[in-house]
Amino acid sequence: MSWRLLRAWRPGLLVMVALLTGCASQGALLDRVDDDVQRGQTERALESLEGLSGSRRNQSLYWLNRGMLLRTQGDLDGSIAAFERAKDVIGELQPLSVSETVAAWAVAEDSGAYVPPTHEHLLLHVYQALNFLQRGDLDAARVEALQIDLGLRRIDPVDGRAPRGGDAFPRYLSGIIFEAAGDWSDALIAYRKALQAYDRQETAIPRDLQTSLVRFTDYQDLVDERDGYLQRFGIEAWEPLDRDRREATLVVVLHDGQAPRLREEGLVLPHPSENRLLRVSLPALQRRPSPLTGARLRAVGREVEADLADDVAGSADRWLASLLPGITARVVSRNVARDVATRRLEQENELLALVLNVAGTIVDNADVRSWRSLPDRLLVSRLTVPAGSIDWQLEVLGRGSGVIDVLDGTVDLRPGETRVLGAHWINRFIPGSAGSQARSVRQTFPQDPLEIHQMPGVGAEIGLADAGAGTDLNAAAGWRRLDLNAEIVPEAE
Amino acid sequence: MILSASHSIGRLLLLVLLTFALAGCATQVDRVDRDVPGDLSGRWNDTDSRLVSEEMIDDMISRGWIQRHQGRTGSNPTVIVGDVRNLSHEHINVNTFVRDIERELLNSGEVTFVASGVERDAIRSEREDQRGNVREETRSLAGREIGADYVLTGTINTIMDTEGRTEVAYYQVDLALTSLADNTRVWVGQKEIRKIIRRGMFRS
Repeated sequence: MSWRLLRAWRPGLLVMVALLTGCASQGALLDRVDDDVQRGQTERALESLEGLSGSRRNQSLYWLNRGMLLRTQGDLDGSIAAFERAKDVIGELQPLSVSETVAAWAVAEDSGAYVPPTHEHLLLHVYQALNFLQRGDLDAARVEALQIDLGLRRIDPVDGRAPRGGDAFPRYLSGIIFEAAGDWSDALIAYRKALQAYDRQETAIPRDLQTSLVRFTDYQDLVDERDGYLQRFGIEAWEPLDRDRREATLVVVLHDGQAPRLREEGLVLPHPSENRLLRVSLPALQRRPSPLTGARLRAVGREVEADLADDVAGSADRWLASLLPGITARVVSRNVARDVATRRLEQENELLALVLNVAGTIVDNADVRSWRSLPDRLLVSRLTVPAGSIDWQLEVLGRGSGVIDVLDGTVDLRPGETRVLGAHWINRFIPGSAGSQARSVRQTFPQDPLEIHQMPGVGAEIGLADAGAGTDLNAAAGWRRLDLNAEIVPEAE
Repeated sequence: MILSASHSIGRLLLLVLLTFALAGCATQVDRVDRDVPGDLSGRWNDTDSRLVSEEMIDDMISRGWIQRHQGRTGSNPTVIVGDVRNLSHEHINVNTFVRDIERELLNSGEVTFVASGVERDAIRSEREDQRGNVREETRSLAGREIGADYVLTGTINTIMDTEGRTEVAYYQVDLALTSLADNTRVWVGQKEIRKIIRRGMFRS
């Protein structure tokens, strides 16, 4: 009788199930956090994120995102504490959970605790290291570099490689940390491993890494290796390493955009021969490209172009591609399991069978969880500067290498010191992300408002560009605009 | 039949809810003696910090440098704890380790112990604050600090070895006592701790 009912109501039921399956609450919550971040409202994003704090299976996700948001806000101590908590939670999740594994095969993909993939786990250490570096705690940053190595050796005891990439920048940053700490042998090892990882990923080698390899092999008298790098990279001149150098080094890491979102792609359809529902739901990546095409660091009359150091979106792509066969197998197994259970129950109780089939279809969501507050990519620039109080400027370049935004600041450097700074740029510099010494000087381009039109998610500002009044992209974030062509934008008030 | 099935499901649901409710009240705190080892994660912990500091300071004060100093100057050596660097793969709270060392040094009665850099600044500020604010006869005067004869510095290092779910963590703590007068090392101590950590295959 109930199947007759189902047949009669099937179109309506399908619509209802399709609507209910769209209510993946954690996905919607993460979307809210994303949107807040994109508007530059990190405080609101933190409030939105609190919705995840009570979810036991999303604890790692909560702490990862919290750490990143606090860091973006400039609260380094809070970010460090959150990331340490994330490490603890992830450590507890390393052993397999039988119940969660069974649930993933039988109920839904997202029924288990969120265990970050390798590239996210590595970036957790990267961001913790950057937190410590920006706080001036080099020894603690060195701890993170060692943890990166230990984590990779747990995965690959022989070579310490990440199977699907994502280890190039963590190795490169480790090299910078060891170099700054004076551990030059470790620095060379880390730089070599970074080179191997970039080669495996088939991505361009950052020019600073190329030069570092030459400098360190030259210092260690590894002449053949040095000459190999000189030939490969076409380097003709380099600054030799010097333990007693009078100058200092400024490294700026630019965190550009937002990591791709995972979206559910799937459909609910009736069983071809029976009166039951099937559901196929798979995750798909939705990239959020940034209008940024490059960056340039300037200080004391010197300048250097920033290089792409980590393609976070690319790592996510490779990770998902490697998971899809397994996910597809589980989707099929869940539909088969649900179908078999429904058919068996149908013989005893048609109504319960109907409930089981519909409920199973509703909860069978794709797992769309990921560490979304990560950037789309990281760019690194390094400049040798005289010790002392240095004014620096980071220019963000758009299409045609036009400057679309500028961040400037002052830093005090000791002779021989390496200082690492970071700034987050999501259509604008996020206030506080580069520390209290920095301020954003937004350039506007009334002569080329179409450039602005390319930016995603800034619809409210496009009207201003069309009005030819100079575009204040910061207005949405509540920043102060000073004039038509160049706005001096202070830190968040 | 539908009725009896829904009764059973109802009872089962009630039981599940009750189990969850009781499990939620399960926070438990046990007070234990500080000598009871509390290894939870296999990382450096309070027991390691205390044991290492006790053993190393025991070793330090049992060596001949104290007698030589006393013979030369007629007084106990004055020691300051300098920089102890964490070069391990873990975030170790070096401050608690330094405090453990300071306590052991002070309790040994063999050395005079002076406050380290940051604390000295706070004490000097307090002394400065006394000027004009406290009765003259109770005021501590500037310029009467005791200079240290020796500075204690050190490092905490680790070597990790991993095979499958088993890890061997080897901690090496090196401390050195250096004469501030002529940079000569008067004592070098080393303490190692080896931990074997076996991680479980499954969790609940």
